[in-house]
Amino acid sequence: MMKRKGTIIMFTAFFVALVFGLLYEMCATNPEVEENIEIREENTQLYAALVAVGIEDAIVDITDERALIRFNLPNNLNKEATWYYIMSASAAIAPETDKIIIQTYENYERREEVTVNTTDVIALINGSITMEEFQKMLKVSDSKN
Amino acid sequence: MILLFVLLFAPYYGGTLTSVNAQQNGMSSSTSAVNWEEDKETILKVLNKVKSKEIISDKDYEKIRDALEESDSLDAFISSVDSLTVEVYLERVYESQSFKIIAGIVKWTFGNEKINIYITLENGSVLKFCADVQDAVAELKEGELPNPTINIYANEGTLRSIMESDDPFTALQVALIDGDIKYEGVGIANAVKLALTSTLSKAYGFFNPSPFEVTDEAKEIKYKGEEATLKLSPKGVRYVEFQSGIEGNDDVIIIDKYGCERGYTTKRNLKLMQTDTEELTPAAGIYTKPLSELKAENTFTEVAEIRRLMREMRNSTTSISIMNKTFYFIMKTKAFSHI
Repeated sequence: MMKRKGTIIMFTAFFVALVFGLLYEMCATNPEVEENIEIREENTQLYAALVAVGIEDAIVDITDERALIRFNLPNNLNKEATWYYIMSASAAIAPETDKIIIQTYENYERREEVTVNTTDVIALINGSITMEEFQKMLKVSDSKN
Repeated sequence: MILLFVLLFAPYYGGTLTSVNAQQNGMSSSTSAVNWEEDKETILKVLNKVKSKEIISDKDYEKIRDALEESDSLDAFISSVDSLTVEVYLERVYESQSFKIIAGIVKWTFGNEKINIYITLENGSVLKFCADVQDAVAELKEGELPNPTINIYANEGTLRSIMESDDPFTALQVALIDGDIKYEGVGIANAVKLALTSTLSKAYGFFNPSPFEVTDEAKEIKYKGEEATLKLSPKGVRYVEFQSGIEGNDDVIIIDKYGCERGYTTKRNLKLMQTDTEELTPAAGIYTKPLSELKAENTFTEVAEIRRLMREMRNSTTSISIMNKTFYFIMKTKAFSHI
């Protein structure tokens, strides 16, 4: 009799647990959450370089292929000077990337996007090409908004 | 042994460990001297807490503490304690606040069992421990039992996250529910028992969701003892912002599902991210140091000179000058890394 009672309790417990377990699976309407973020030290290095000259609002996103730098231009900085600074800093920190993409924002509004090959930046610094040649290699596109 | 301690005693570790670098580097078996000092401190805290709760005997405490004091690396510590057998007084564990609610399930699942524990390290090797649980006492030692009734599998990253979490008990619960710590019964009866435990733990999770479980809505939580808000970034990354922030400092902390610090960004960077998320990876705009710290590090005269050139830029000569000075300065300092 006792054994039977124990079995009933066990089955009831299992059934209840099963129902709530299934409920948990079904009701877990969590949004898509990134659980495995691979944080790259180069992102911090380049961001530190930007912060050093007063660019605090910046997203640095370096992958094996490209270095993407999105920044909000501070009022006291010359836009073009900032581009040259970022290109150079990026080429120094992530020389293995193919491209450097700089997205300029002013008051959080998207402005120009500058794209350049990292090898071209290094070639300019090495003196293999002139500034005139380098400027022809820069792709500057207007805001896409 | 340390990893086993983490697995079993994580709920007792109430301190705060904020070594983001250590976490990002993973706990390699060749831990650096600095990391070892941090690890040593953490192990000692866990050990003292365990001792204060009378979960292990004074004799075992002394043996482990001596091994810790004499070791100069994690490897050395692990080797020196591998041959030890430690008795764990489980009744003390069950009595603790953290275990009160689930003590019955834990007792029923793991009481009077022979357990093998396999911990996969980041270098691919596997640490093997076993626990012979007899009523209220568990005897832990290195190696495998020939006839286990339960096998437990975990990895180093998960255990480290539990240890470093702001709330280790919740982290342990998350790891169990999410299957980051797996357990399986040997034989049909044990397999059924463990399956039931797994289902019950999910049911428990249903009624007691982790504070770090995030939804689309902002959520009020306690983090590091302070009132904070848990949110989801535009790229689906959890972050915590403190409600009592310092004026002008809008740093936010990126955390994982265990409540461990993974990095930092700012509210303004999140705003910038929000404008267009398509081209960005999840790691975009996440840095290993907070902005407030990076600002404080900038004391180089070379930077002042570059800034002057940037303000005064008039022609291509200045552009080349900016690029050259920047390139060689950054190459030299790698953007002041690890000042």
